[in-house]
Amino acid sequence: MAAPAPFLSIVITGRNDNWGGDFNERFFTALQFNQARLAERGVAFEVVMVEWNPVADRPRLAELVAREFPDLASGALRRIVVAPEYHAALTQNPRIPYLEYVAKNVGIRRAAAPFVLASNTDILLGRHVVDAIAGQRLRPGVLYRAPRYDIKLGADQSRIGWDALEDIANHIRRPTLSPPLYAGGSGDFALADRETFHALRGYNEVYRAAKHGLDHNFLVKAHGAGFPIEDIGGPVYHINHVGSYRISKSLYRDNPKEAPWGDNRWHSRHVVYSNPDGWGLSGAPERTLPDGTTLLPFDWRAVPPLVELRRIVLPIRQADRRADATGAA
Amino acid sequence: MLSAFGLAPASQADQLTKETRDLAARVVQLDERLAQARADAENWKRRHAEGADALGGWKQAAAKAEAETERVRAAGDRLAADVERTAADVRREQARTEEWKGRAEKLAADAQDLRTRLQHARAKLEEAERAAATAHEHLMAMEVKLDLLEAAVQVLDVRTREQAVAPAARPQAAIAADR
Repeated sequence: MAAPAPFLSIVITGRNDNWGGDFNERFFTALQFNQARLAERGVAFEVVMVEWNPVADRPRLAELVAREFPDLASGALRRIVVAPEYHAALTQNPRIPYLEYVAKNVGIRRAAAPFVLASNTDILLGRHVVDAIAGQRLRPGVLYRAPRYDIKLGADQSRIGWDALEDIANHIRRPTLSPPLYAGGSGDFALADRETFHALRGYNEVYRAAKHGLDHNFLVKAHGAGFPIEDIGGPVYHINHVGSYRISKSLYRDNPKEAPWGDNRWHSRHVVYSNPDGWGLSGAPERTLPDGTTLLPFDWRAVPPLVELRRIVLPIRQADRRADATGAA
Repeated sequence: MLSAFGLAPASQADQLTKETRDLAARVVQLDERLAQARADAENWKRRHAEGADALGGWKQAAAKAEAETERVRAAGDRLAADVERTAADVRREQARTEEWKGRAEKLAADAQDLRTRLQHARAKLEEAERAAATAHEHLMAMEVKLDLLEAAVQVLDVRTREQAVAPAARPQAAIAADR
């Protein structure tokens, strides 16, 4: 019997560079946890994992994850490997080996489900998040956000469950999100219907000189475009690790241009973008490898110009739009 | 002739008897009247006493009323003086009120003028703030574009250097292969 069409596409991205020291362990823990919680609630989902700029002499994440989750790999786990030449062609900052948000766009562009969650490999879904998804309470045209609670460094991941995740003794920080953008760790959780992501043309892939702030930049664009942003009602959890931005940013306080996430001072809260038609490398050719992985072989025709200044734009102010709509109603 | 013997005729005796009876009745009547007069006199005497008492009371009341009237008249005089003084105050205050009213109207006119000028100034300030915000946004956009240009130049510089070295190496390799 054919698997039901997915209701949710979870887009995650990674690189086989063991980022943070225990990347694979955190990735597999989160994937195991999330797929179990969604399956328990009967949510039909797919995981779209995009492997960006893979290191040549190491096993690819796509292979490792298929080995770790053979059942998922046979259907609900779609693995996409982007040829490293795309990174070389697209980069605007040699210090950044991983264009996270272009990678996310690759997954979003190819997501099949009506709702798409752009997240990260070490994010565990909270109880209220799964409730909202399983209850199909999501409305098209709304961008949903969830606060990210950081689980303390070195936490035992072997038997992790909601009770442990919800125990405040395990939390390093418990932020609350504020309207209108509900910003803060938004790269870890941005959920909307597929059409909304397509209408916005995904994350900023015009400005690639930094990856820091691109998640916030997406919220600014969505808000400016008139899409309401809402808190979904509960947190997601992040397994903290060495090298995370929050832990490492102080190392680059005096030389922000040297940071591996780019210069965090760029105007991500004020200047937005207009991605080209081919956003998410939609023009890239695709080839299916024997293990089921989709490879995007390099083709210059899929690569946008190195710089397109006309695609750097200012957001339209929409602060009163919702108030007007409410008043009119 | 009877009278010569000290006798009187019977008719005369009857007459005298009758007159005697009448006189006796008259005496009784007069006694009654006298008693009545005495009672009336007592009554009048009592009434006189009462009237004298009442008159005394009235005299006292009249004296009191006269004193009160005098006091009231004095108070009235004082009040009249007060009223006169107050009227003078009112006339003076009216004059001052008129003066202040004139000043207030002038101040109101000045305030209205200032308000209008403030509104104009505020509108100009808001316009200037909008222009400044827009200019700031455009400046930020320009900075982002400059960032991109700088980044692109650096990337192209790296690529150019790599290509500049590669062709130099390739012919040597080709030469080596020819050998």
